[in-house]
Amino acid sequence: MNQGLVPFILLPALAAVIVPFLWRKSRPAVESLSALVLGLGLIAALIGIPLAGQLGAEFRAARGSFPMPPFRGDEFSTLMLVTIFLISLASVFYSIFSVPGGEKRASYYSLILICTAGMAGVVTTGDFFTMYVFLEVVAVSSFALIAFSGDSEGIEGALKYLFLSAPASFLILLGVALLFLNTGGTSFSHLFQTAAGGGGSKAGILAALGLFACGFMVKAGLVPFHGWVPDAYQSSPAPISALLSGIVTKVAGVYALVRMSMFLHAAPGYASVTRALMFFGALSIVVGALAAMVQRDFKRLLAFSSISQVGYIVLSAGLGTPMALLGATFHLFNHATFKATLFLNGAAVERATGTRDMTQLGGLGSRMPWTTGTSVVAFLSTAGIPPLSGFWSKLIIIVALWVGGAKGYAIIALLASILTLGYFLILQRRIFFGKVVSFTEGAEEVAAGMLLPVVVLAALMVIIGLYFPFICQLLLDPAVKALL
Amino acid sequence: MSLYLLLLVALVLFSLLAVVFRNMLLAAISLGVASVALTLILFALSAPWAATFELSVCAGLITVLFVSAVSMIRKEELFLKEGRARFALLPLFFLLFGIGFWFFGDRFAVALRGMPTLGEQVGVGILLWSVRSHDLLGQLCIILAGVLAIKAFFGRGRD
Amino acid sequence: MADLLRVNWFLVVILAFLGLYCLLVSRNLLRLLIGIEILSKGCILALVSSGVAIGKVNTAQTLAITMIVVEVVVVAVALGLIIRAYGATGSIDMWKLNKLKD
Repeated sequence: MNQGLVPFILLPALAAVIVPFLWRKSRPAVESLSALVLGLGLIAALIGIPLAGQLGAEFRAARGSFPMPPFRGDEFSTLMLVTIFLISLASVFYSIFSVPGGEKRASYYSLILICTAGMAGVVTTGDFFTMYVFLEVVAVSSFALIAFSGDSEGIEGALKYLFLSAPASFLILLGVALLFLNTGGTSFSHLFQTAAGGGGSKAGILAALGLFACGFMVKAGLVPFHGWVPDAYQSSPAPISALLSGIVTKVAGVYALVRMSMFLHAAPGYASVTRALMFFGALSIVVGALAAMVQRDFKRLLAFSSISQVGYIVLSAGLGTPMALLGATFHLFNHATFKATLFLNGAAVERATGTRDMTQLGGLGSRMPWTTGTSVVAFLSTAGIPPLSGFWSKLIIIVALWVGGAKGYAIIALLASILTLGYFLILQRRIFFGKVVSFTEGAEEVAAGMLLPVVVLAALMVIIGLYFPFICQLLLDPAVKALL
Repeated sequence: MSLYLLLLVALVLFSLLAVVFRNMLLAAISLGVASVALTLILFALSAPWAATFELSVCAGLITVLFVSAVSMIRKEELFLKEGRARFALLPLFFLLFGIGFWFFGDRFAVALRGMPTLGEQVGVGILLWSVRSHDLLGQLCIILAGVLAIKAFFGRGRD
Repeated sequence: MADLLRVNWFLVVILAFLGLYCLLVSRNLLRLLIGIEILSKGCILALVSSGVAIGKVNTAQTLAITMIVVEVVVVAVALGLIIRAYGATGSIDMWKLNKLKD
């Protein structure tokens, strides 16, 4: 079997097996091994983008032929791999420095590694059923990671995730069975050639796609399927929240939704599914933004903000024009960086001040300069202020919506963006720049090791924002070519 | 054919019992019996491999896991009153959907024409290892993830 | 054999509704897990009956086998989680798990 992008899965999985044995010998070895493996994966993914482009081109060239060759990976997959390994690396780095020594048991790093391997599996496969299998890998490791701290909050969050994720997997499987019935196979090629060639029953394929859409929307955390998101994000340990929000929901749900849009726009006649995606995306934007404003706990605030931003991605992907897809993929990558930074910084703040209640915080800027700086960059980027990266991705999305004929949605997106901006500015003023209050008196800046990932991510936001045209040509155009 | 229908009815009946029984132990056993019914159904559909897996894993392993979990929980906790009143309308909705499906369900599947049917002369084993080897990798990963998760839940922190 | 397919899929629909009903209504965590199990049975039947209908029984069997393996791992981990919940709060009542909303 042609290897394609499979080695990306094997490496972290192998490391996950080795870790428990190594833990007995030496703790630092485990930490370095994890970081090393993830770093290697990141570099390999970056280098692999042009190579993956070849694989993708082959698949696209064979579009008209029958039978179609299997899908082996393309530029979009590789961009997702870059995001996955980057955020996992940031999360692991933070974990290494946040606990001095031995509270984290060996299985923690193994679980993060196997979760990464599972996510790599989801984005590199060309078959819906294999995607289901790797989605369950990610889900199982997520349950364990959310509940890792052992307190009842973590367990509650994990249980809520479990009891919403399992029916979602069931819906996806039913979709696979329907697809199998109508097209004779479960891979992308089968869906493509049947949808385009008109082999199976149209109602059947539409039903299969509808089931897929519902299942993946639950996994992505879109409204009205978002019930598990605030609880799971709030109750998991901080680096895990960063991992969850940064990539797990994206890989598990959003990636598949974007791929589905991609296929559906090449095969006309299935527009109802993409219209539904746009509707739920817009709904998520509004509900997420409004709900975020009434939260006191900042982790819950960030959870609702994530729901809102994922709504932007899905809304744009649903539209499906080249510009819209460009905006969606770019925003996907950007949002991973924003939320990872914000969650990691939030954890640092909690460590330093002992509270997550925002009404009790104030004046952190003077005590924790680096954390403040990177958080401000992330907040502004999420809200879409130039010249940061978030501004560009939001702009592309809104313009694509306007130009693509969805003017109403464009206005909603713009208004929500302004709303978010206003709220974040007020929040920032109070937490970071206001008067110093009792809670923040004794706060100290956190260790350098913990700051490294957020500084790198924030720098990325700034650099990507400033050098946008260059980035566009290098990374994003290939990704969009893949999507068409 | 009538035996087959009997098996289908058994499957639904024991699943229903598993939902309804107050005593969790009986519910778990009922689920096991439903699994046996499904196994026989799979045999009847000429899918012996799937049937064997279903028997040993679902009817066997999962029932054992359930029963051991039930045994760990205090008796009082196991008999809770379910909040069924809110959803009394749901079975009615299902009835309507079921009737609609029975008559109009044909539109969702159409006989396939000209689909390449390669790989059916080959046995399940070879299929699994060559065509769907990606799934095998996935199975390995999920077993690994499951072991690590259980270890994370119940392991003693060795510091 | 369109008739067999229709009967099988009708069963799948019944099991799906039964499982979803169980998930919506139940208070006991273990029963929620039974609901998930019923949904899985529905999926297995769906996969195999689709395979039988289009003549690809063996492919369907490989899918079903993989699915069963995945399901058992999920159930095992879910049971582990429930036992932990019982250990932490002394109860397996779903309605008592609402500490996170404030």
